[in-house]
Amino acid sequence: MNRKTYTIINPTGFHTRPARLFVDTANEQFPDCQVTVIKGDKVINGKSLLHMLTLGVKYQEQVTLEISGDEEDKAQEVLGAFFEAIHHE
Amino acid sequence: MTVTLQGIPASPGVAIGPVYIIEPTTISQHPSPELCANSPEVEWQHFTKALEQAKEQVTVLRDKTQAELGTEKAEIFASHLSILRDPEFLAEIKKKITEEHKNAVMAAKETGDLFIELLRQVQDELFMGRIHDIEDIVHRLVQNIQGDELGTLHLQQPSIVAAKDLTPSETASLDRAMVLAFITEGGSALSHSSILARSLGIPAVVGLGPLPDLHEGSSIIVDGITGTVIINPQADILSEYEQKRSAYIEEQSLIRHYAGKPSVTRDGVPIEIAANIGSLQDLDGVLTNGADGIGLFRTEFMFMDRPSMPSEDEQFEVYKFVLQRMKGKPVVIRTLDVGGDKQIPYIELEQEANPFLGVRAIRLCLQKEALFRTQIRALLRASSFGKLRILLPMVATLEELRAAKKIIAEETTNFKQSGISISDSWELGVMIEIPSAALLANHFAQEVDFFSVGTNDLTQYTMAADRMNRSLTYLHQGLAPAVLQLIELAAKAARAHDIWIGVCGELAGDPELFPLFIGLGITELSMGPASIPRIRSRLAQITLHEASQWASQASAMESSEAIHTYMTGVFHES
Repeated sequence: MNRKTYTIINPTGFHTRPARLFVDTANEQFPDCQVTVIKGDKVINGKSLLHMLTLGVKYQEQVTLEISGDEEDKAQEVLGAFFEAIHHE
Repeated sequence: MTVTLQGIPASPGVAIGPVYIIEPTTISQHPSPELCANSPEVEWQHFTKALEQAKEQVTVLRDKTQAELGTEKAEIFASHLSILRDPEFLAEIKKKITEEHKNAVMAAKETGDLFIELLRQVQDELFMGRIHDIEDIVHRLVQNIQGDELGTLHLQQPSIVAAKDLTPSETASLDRAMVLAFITEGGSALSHSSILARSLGIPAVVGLGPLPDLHEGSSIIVDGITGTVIINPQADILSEYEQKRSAYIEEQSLIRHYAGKPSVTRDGVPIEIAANIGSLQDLDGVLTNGADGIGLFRTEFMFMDRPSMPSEDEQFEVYKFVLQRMKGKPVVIRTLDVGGDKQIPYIELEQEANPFLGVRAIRLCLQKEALFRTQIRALLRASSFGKLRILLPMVATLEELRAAKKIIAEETTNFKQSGISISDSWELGVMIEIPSAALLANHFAQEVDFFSVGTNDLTQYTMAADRMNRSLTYLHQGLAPAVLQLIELAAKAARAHDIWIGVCGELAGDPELFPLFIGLGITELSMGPASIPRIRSRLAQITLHEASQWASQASAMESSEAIHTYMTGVFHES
């Protein structure tokens, strides 16, 4: 398992569009990985868009991404990049 | 009787017409017996069949929206598809069916409600806007389970649609030719229905609260600009809104006509008409109004309302994002312009008696060098992603400029030594907003690539009048001849040394006064994005020759009042 913490720099937070891209990528490219996203005391399934949205990740908030399974290092790199980027509306 | 309601303006425009009421589709609270199948397996089959159907329907809707409105709007339905495949959503429904023996309808509805409640707790408008998407999806699933026809509107005449709420799916299916506008009791400006209404160009007012008893066909006015809805308006109100509607339509056609047009004078002299922005959200307006570039990107927003300074990487991402979205069009990024009037927790600022005459902008950056170096490094790294122009604010002396340039040169050398690629063609400019800079323009012009005139501050510092002080507004009205003469000095120096000069203050977008700048040889005007089409249309009516005549007349005048009267006059003659 690997684990990394990110600070959200997208000014409108990690809203629907980036969350949808994140979740779809996690499901399509890493079917064998377990993807967990942690914010404060909330721990959610990173492969569920509804879970990601209810986490309500806002600008400047920190999230931790925990991944285990096949290709977990690659998954951390690919999925972590969504948290580090700025997204179109 | 006339009734006036106030809601949230969700999509601009004015519409007048008869109302058409959509009754909310009902979800059976007490499902019919055949749906209360005893076997959970059968209910789960009902559900999966409805789910597959829903995926097909949403795929069609996504493709249609993509074809008509583009990928960005189709994203709404891409997220619906993602929810229809959501493992947690489906697991919860399955649990309700198999463990709690709920029928498929109740299981879908209760699961939707569960996630809606969780979204409410996020307490953020953007996330709460997604509540409607969940309602939309559940609604679709329930209709599929019940075997209902998905509702389509059959309007006999162009109408204003009134509903309790409209789902994104319903909005995307509205017939543009028949729906003049829509009004809803619920909703927010950030809901997907509102976003779709804006791209469909359908005026909309949402969040009106309970609508009074409406009669089918009652006359109604919808003002999507202010959020006002008037039911059964009287004749005088009606004619007032008819005028407002024509004015809006005219303005929109101006925008459509000039958004993609080049910015040139009648005699073919190209001028850059650029946009001022203060956040990334402003970029949409920049693109819709067809700006030739960004003439002023205020970076302050990134530094405010946060406990620590934005890192070099974060700033780099922001600058890169803007440069890339502008696709090679120039982007002027102004370095941090704050002072003692703003509280920034991680920058220690001394209390000052006159913060606008104190340690601010470049003065502050040269004192807090680490802050400035971080911003410069982020800018230099971003320089290879577009056409970057760095603008230094509040420069009064050549020593300040040279100190800033020394820092920039050092950071450039560092990058080159570590093999990080930075562009060689980015430009450096200074703001002309302190009279000293205008008077020394001949010297400055030899050491920078461009000037940008900030008319608001240049007026404030020339008149020694605080622009926030309401009893001094008379010193800030229009364009004072003293200010015009200072701009003229800077423009002459720019021409003599073959650098370009722009104006990024409020006056750049003034439809009567902007020709004076063109007349002085200014080649770039930067303004609020919404002013661009109007200024571009006016630019096409004037020649450089006449503009220079007006400018030389105006700079010899005795008051801003006289300049204003003169320019209003010549414009109407020409």
